[in-house]
Amino acid sequence: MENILSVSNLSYFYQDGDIIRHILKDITYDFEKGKFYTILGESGSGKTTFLSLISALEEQKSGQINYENINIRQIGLDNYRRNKVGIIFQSYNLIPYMTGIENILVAMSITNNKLPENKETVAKNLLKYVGIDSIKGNRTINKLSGGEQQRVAIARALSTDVNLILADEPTGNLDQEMSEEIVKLFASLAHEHKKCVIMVTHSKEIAKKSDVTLILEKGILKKDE
Amino acid sequence: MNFFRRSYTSIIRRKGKSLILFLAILLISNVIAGSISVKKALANTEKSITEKMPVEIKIELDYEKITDKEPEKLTEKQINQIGKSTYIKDYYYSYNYNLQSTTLKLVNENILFRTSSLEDKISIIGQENSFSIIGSNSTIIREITLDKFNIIDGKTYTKDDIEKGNNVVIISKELAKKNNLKVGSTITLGKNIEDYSGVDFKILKSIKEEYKVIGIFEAKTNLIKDEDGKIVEEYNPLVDYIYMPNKTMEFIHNKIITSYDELNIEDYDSFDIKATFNLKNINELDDFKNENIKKLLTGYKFTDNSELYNKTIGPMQNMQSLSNFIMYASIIASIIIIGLITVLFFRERKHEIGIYLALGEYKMNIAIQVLLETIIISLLAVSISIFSGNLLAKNISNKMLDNEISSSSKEDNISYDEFGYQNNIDKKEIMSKYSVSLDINTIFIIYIVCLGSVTLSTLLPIYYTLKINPRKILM
Repeated sequence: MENILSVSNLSYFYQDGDIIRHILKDITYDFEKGKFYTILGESGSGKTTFLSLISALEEQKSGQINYENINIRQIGLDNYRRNKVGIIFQSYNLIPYMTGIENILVAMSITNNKLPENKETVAKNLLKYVGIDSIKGNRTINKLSGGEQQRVAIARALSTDVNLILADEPTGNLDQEMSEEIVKLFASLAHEHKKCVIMVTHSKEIAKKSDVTLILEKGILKKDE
Repeated sequence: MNFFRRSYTSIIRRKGKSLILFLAILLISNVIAGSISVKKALANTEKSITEKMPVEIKIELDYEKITDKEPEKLTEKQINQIGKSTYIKDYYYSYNYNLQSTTLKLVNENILFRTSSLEDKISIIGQENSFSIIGSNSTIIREITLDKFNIIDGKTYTKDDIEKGNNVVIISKELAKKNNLKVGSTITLGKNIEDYSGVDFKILKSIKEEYKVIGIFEAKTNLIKDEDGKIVEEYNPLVDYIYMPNKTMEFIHNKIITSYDELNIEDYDSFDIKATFNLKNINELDDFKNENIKKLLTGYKFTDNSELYNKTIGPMQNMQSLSNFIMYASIIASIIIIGLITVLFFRERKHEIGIYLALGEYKMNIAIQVLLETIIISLLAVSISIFSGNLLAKNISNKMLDNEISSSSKEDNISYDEFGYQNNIDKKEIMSKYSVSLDINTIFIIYIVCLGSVTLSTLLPIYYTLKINPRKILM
């Protein structure tokens, strides 16, 4: 399989008074297209920090993150987020006064990736793909349930035609049934659409459904054998 | 969905917040628009009044300094020297003289004038009517500049008339009507040289000249109440004056003087030069006087209308200071109030802005979107306030200016010029010239000031909001 994201010697720390607290220690790993990864770890293990670094929401302090063999600093962090990666958050992070379709159109208007002309139709199709019909798609976000909002967020992440999907505990606020559906969706994105999906979770059950489970412990990332 | 559409969606969907911002901007821009309208109206009124009543300096006899010896007469050369001062905007001088006519009838033969000097000027000598003659050194007649009369038929002097002293005159429509004259008619004016040495006076010689009427003027008159309370036109002494170039007058005067010499009679023919200097700036009055006092001949002094000028212009300047203060205060208030409202709204919108940043949106686009929202709301509010503020300003400022003038003007402010014409501008005239109206220029200024203030108050919150770290907000 083709490498899409390579992390080498990635470290992250912050200063807490006189003490330097190391969150991530010298992480090196290659992520491939067409695979569904989960990163397991206890609270405070650095899972979200790791995800924020590979999604360029935070700048790394040492080490290197390459997207398709190009350093993301070289791509430009804003440019990388705009054109290379789709991010899904635990708390959905949708614009509340807009409809589901409008939220997707916002992302589509921001990316520089070449997208079909009929953006609204694409947005409706994406929502349909994640299980949201056009009636619900035309509702403002605050009129949708948590599960529906997360589906809209997934559709938004897919709308910019990126190959790398990063999800920060996307099932954290959902019930088990809804969580399973979302996980199935991620697996389908990886296997059928050849995307690389990296999902941070603390649920071992969900992790079992991924292709590769990585464990982050005391700042060190290792594969769950 | 580009940032223009996002701005529109945000305004429409966040109705409550848009309305709060709209009302705040509407309130403040009403005050700004009102004060700008008042400021502009006052400036226009002041300009119009100062044009009609410029800061004038005159050279007059200083009776306190006159000794037994009669002071030397003013000359054109001395006037021109003073007129070259950098403090002077323009100046003019006129010869004032008296000529008689046996054929011309006075419009008002039995009028008692306000000033004693005028009673002397128009007196009946024998069967001849005596006319005051006003000269001019310029093709621009002072009375026209001061809006005291306007030419209704014919024209004013040409440069040639002024330089060569052609025999041309300008008369009032009343004088023309009474004597059946029109443009192109000829009148005869002159003087008798009389001998009073015997029991009866004898006319020794008559000097006469013919003058062509080249223009007819209409003097502006004030409406006053007569003894019965009826509204009537106030008597205007200008109707009996005859205007001619200085050199034309000088020519007949010299002819008269020569005749006196030939007849060996003592010359008592009076001939005055009146000089008026218009100052560029009233604040430079003392500087002008200090610079030119040495150029004055002994027995003369400078007099000015600064007191009257200040009394007339003062209320408007007070109002202008007040409207300036209101305008600057409301600009500062708008920056603070709208800035605070924007900061509060931005705190709520941090999450939304974090989402845009996480999606990789350019910071400039986010700034434009947010600014655009404020500008659209402001445009609407300012457009309304241009008219409502103007209406408000019209009602309030009219009363304020009226009160201001009333408190500063008194009956004894009325003054008359050397011809007996009321020189100051009354409250009614100021109020008639004061008009709070909207023109393109005012509307443009209001938009610039209001939108500028709103933009300024929004920029700082935008700058700080865009510095937020999306991870801290979203994860």
